[in-house]
Amino acid sequence: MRRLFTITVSLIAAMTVSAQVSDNAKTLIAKAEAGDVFAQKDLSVLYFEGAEGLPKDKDKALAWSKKAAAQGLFLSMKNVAAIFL
Amino acid sequence: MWPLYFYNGNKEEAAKWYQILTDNYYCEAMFNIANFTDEGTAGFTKDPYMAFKLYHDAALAGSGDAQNNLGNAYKNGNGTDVNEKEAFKWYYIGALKGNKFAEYNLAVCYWKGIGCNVDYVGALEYFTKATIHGFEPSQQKMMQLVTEIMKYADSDNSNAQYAAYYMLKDIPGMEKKAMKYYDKAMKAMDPTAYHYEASKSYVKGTPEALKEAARMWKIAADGGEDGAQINLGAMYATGKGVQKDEAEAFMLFKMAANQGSPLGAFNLGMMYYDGRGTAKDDRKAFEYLKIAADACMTNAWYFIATMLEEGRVNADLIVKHLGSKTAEEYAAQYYLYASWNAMPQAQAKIAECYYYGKGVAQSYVRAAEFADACIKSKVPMGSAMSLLSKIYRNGRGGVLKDETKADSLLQEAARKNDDAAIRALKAVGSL
Repeated sequence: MRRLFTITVSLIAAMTVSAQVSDNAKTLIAKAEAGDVFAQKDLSVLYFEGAEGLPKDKDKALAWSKKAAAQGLFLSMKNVAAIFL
Repeated sequence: MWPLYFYNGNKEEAAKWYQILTDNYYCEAMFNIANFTDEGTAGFTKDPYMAFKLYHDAALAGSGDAQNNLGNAYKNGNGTDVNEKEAFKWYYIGALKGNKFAEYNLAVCYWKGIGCNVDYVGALEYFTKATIHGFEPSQQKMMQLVTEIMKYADSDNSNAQYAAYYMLKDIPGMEKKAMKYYDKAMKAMDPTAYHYEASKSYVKGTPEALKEAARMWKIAADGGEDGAQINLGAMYATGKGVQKDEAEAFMLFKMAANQGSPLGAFNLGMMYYDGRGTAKDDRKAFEYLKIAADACMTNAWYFIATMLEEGRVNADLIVKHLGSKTAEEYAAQYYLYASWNAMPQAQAKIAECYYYGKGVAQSYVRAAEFADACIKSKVPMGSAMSLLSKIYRNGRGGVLKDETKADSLLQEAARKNDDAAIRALKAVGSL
C-alpha cells in the first residue's frame, strides 16, 4: 500500500514539476556526475525537498548521499545512517 | 532530517556508516554502535561488558546520551561495579552538555548526596534546567524537594536556608521570609551561599562589586567551594578586581584541582603549560590537562592535542596515560573530539591532519569538510581558508578544481593574516 502511495506521489510530483530546472541545479548535476562530493551532497538535498525545478525523488536523494558517503563525506554518512536506522 | 518511515529500518546498513564515523571518533555514532552492542541488534552480538566499554568511549568523546547512560551504569552496577562518585561525575559532565536526563539525575545526586555533598541549591538549579529542557518528571520531584528544603531550613541547615531564600526571593509577599533565611545562611558562613552571592556581585562589574565578589569568594573558597576557588583564582590570574597575583591564582586552582574539579585541573594545567605562577612544566601540564580532557572539556582536548603534535609529551607519559599508538594518532583523536564538538580551532587543525595524513588516513574530502565547517563557524580561521583554497586550486580527491573559489578563499585568508596565504599571494605578485 505504501508503495502504491509512493508511486502516486512521485507521479503527481513528476507532473507538477515543469521543465524549469534552475541553473544552479544544472551545475550541481554536472559537477555531481563528475564526482564532486559537495555537489553530490547538495544535489541530494534538492531531490529530497524537490527544489529548484527538480522533482521530489527520495531514491535519487539517497543515491547521491550514498555516493558522497562512499567518497568519505562524513555529513552524508550521518544522513544515510539516519535513514536506515 | 530524514523521516524514519521512508526506508524500513535496516540497521546493518546504518551500522556500516556509523562504524566508519566511530573510527573517526564521532561521539554520536559511537553511542549508536554502543547501543547496537547493548541490544544485540544490527548484526552485533549482545554483550553488556563490551557495551559498557563502548558507552565509556562514546562518553569520553562527548556524547551527552552516553554520559548519562554511563552515570546510570555506575549508579546501578550495569556492566561494572557500583560507584557513586563515578555516577555523579558522569551525570555532571552530561548536565554540562545540556543533556536533560543527566540534568535530572544530577539534581537527584545533589539532593540525596549521591557521590557528592548534599546541595539543595544545586538540586534546584538542575531540576529547573531539566524542566526547561522538557523532562517532565522533574517538576513533580521539585515539589517534593521544596517541601524538604522548607523542613530543613527551619532546623539549622545553612544550605537549605540559602536554598529557601533562593526559592522565595522572587515570590511577591515572600520577600521578608526570604531575607530571614538569607541572613541565617550568610551568618552561618555557608560556602554555597557565599559562592552564589559573589557570582551575583561579580556580574555587576563595578569596582566595588568586584571587590565584594572577591571578598565573598574568599570565604566560600576557604569553606571548600571549588567554584569559588576557581573564580577567585581567575580574578588573581587576570588582575580583575584584585591585585594581579599569579602565584595566588596557581594556589587556588591547585586547591580546586585537588578537590577533583575538572575546571580546576584545566586552569592548573594551563598555568604549567604557559609557566604562569609556577615554572613551566610540560609533564604536569599534560597530566592536569588529561584530567580535564577525561571530563570532556573541549579546550583541554585541544591543548592536549597541540602538546602531542608539538612533541611536548614524553613517550613514557603517552604509554602511561593514553596507550600504544603514536603521538600523532592521539593528537588527531583529541582534535577530532573537539572538532565534532564544534570547536573551530580544532576543525582547522584536523583539516590539516587529514590533508597531510598525520595521525589519520589521508583524505582531501575530509580535510575540505572540516575546513569548510571551520570557515562557516563563528570563528572562521585563516588557516582553514588557505587549506581549502589549496584543495580547490588543485582539484583533489572528490573535490573538483575551482579556481574562482580558490582565489576568493586565498584573499579572505590573507585578510585574516594567514602566513601561508600571504606568502602565496606575494609569490604571484598580487599582494
